[in-house]
Amino acid sequence: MSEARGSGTEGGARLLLDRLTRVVALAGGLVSLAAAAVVVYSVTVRGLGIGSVPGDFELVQIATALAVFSFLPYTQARRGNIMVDTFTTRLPPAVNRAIDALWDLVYAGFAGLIAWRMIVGARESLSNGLNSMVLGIPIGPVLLVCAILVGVLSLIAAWSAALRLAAPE
Amino acid sequence: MSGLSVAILGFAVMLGLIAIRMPVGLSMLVTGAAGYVYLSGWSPFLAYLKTNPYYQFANYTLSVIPLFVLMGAFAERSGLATALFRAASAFVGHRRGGLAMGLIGACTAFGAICGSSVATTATFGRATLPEFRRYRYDEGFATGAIAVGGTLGILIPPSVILVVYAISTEQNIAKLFQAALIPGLMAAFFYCVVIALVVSRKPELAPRHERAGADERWSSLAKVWPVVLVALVVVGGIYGGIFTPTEGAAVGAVAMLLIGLATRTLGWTGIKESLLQTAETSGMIFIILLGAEIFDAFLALSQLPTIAAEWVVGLGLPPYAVVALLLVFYIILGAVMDELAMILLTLPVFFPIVTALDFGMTTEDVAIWFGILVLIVVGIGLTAPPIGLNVFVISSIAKTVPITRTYAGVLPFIAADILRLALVVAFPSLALIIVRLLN
Repeated sequence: MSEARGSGTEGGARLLLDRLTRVVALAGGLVSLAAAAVVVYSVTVRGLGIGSVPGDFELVQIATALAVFSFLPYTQARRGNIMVDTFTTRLPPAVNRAIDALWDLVYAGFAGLIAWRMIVGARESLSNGLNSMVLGIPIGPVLLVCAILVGVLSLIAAWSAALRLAAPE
Repeated sequence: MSGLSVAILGFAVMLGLIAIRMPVGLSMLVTGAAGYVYLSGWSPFLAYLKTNPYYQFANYTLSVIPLFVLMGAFAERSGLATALFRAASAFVGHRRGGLAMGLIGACTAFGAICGSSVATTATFGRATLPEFRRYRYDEGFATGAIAVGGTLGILIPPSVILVVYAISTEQNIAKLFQAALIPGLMAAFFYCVVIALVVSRKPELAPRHERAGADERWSSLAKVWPVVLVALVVVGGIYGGIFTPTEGAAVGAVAMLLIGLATRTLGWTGIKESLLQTAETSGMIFIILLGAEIFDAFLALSQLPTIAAEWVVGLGLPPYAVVALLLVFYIILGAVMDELAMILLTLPVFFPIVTALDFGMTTEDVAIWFGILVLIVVGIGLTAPPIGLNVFVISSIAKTVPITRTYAGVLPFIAADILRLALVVAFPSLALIIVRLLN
């Protein structure tokens, strides 16, 4: 459970972390659901033989990328990433906490690197006007939103490292 | 260093990092990136990162994962697992061990709308443990059966593991789903046989109780027909080629939402929880997928997969012996490692080996058959000691049952799984016959 334990400002910081990532993840989930609704509509009109929705697969692709990038900060905040603790259970809890904080920081650094490169990629796509094949949806802005979400992930990972060191669970 | 030794070093470092608590996806990202940079330099890697993570996720095929997770989450919040369990146990619950068989039946039906074993285990753990306790079933027997029943979530199509296999090896998801049907139903049947055998030797594990009346049977069925209908439409539609797996998943998710709304079992809180559960599970899966993508790019640069395949083929071992060795390796590795990461890490090396061997079948048939074998060993890995994810899940729900008792409960089922694995190895048509009939 992700209830705020800790006290005072630490508890408050954890709560804010939960809220923020939750809102982002919910938005992503709704995007996924909306894509599902478009697909159902497309399948229905195709089944009834009254036309089709051209390029619905492009919407699904874009929606999936947006949704997944918005899920990542939530998974990190919930500590939902799979890790193996079989070999380190005998270490003192403080040591394990320090190790976990270190990996959070590595994750933050790597996400920061990806965010930076994706922003560069987004700017290139914006300047050469890259559009999707069928619907002509501009890819640059989508890339930019995804890059920002990876940036959020980087901040959240750094934040959770700080919380691990500050507030023992 | 040659590409080959870098790749082997990369594997070793990655496993070492996993052993010291680095999240699995992150350790694949980090070692994959380091190997990539070592073999090809910084600027190709920095260029690779510009759009590759986006295109990795902006993937029509991969969209089935969040959608199937969402469909299962809606089903779970609508209380359908409980309804399925009531219906199944209304018919067989009065037999000795009948409640456990009812559980297996309900998990089989639920497996047709849920593609995740962890979700199936958690759902049925919460829904059925109170019933098992009420009828004084042995707790380790019950939790063992739930952990094993949970694997039906992936053994019965749709299956997240098969989607990941299909993407990693560029195979057709619909055909893999078709191939999983008979082995999946065999699993359910074998589990029921195991239950019957165990309770006939130790009747005290599962006390008998009174038979449900006809009224109770029919009213319990009335509550489950919508799920059964959705499962038939989704799986049948994908099998029949009426829609793509993504379309099937979308139809299933929307249908489960509508059923939940219509029966007033799903409100805004339930929808929100379902979306968040989807977010957490999908986030967990996709970070491993991204890590595997970068690690695979590194492996491809190192040429390890090609060299390994040529080497194994050059040994001239009997093809079936090679497959048997790989499966034994998977069972051992799956006992101590996360199964999703295991298959994503090993397939780039193992798949070229298997498809290079001559089994007297087409390459596509071999690929599909091997996918089903991998699925079976993943199922074993999910329940086998010392690290069985499903057992951990049920232990976190049944906190009073020692984990060793759950493992003891699981063991006879693992024997049945190994028998089933041997059968599908010996008779590939158990997997391939449905594919041949439908295509």
